[in-house]
Amino acid sequence: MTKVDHHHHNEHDHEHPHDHDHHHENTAKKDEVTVSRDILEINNRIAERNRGLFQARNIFSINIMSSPGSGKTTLLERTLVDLKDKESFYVIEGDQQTSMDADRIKAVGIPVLQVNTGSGCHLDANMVNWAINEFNPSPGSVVIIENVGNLICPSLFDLGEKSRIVVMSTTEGEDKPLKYPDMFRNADLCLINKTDLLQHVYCNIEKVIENGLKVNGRLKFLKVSALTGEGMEDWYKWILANTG
Amino acid sequence: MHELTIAGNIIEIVTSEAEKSGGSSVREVNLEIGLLAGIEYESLSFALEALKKGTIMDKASFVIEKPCGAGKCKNCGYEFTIESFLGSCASCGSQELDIISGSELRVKSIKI
Repeated sequence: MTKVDHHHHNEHDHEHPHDHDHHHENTAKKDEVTVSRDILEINNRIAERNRGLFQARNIFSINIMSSPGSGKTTLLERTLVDLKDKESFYVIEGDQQTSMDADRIKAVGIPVLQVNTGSGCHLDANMVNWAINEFNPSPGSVVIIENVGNLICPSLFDLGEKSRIVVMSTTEGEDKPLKYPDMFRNADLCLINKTDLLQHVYCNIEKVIENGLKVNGRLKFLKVSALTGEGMEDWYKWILANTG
Repeated sequence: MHELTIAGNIIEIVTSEAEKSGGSSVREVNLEIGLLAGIEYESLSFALEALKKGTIMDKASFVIEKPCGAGKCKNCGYEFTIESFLGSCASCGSQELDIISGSELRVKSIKI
């Protein structure tokens, strides 16, 4: 690209005759429009709106993300059964298709809305905004967003949540934080689920933690089995500490 | 495949900017997408080509600038280039880094 000095064009304090044509330069400049806009600005603006609502009502909001099949819904079912007398919960279920997850949460007796993303691979702030408006969640409650099972795409989209949680199961292997760093880098807490399977699968949990910390030095870890209930008390303590 | 969402946002932003400027056709869109932004460039280009049809960008080319990753050590302030979120400070060894470049996701300019 040729660098063109336009400086003298504005100043015109020089004496030499103007035999060159400036017209094409002006046209080129006029044709180029500076935009400088963040590609995610629309999502981020709505996310801020969601965040504002959560803060105004002192609502603790959690965005739970993981690959498909790591046990997010089972974890939620058990959590809701055990804590529903202590806190008031609302659940937003994100899936590409079906209302199967929402039906499972509804069976526990918790208000739930299913968002089907169709061809989309993640929830966005607008979908969550719709759900919040439908719920009109009460002050001091807990809103849990179960994102679409996907370890890549959801990490890019701010939903306005207070905390991000990544669930990974012992069957997924200890290399996941290194293979999917975007997800682990932006999380506050990592739940290592399915510890009941540790006797059957090879997974060095210390290595999972070591790899997670390489990507995100402030990441916290809890080992749980949503199936047997092992370690779930620590997870409940974490939720209750945040709801004050 | 979040690149499809990203491409949709780009089309939306460019359309509104071109309309504001009174242009009827956009011939070039300049984007800034950092190497650490979590975007697969080929998928994004594919999605942009698919979505531009029938819009004001029908004949536009998309030029993607790809800023390299750079980190700044939270511990000692040393700045250095990085290729991923992994790794530690080349000066003091700390793993606490702020990303100062590489995560850009912007529409920089358009040519009408």
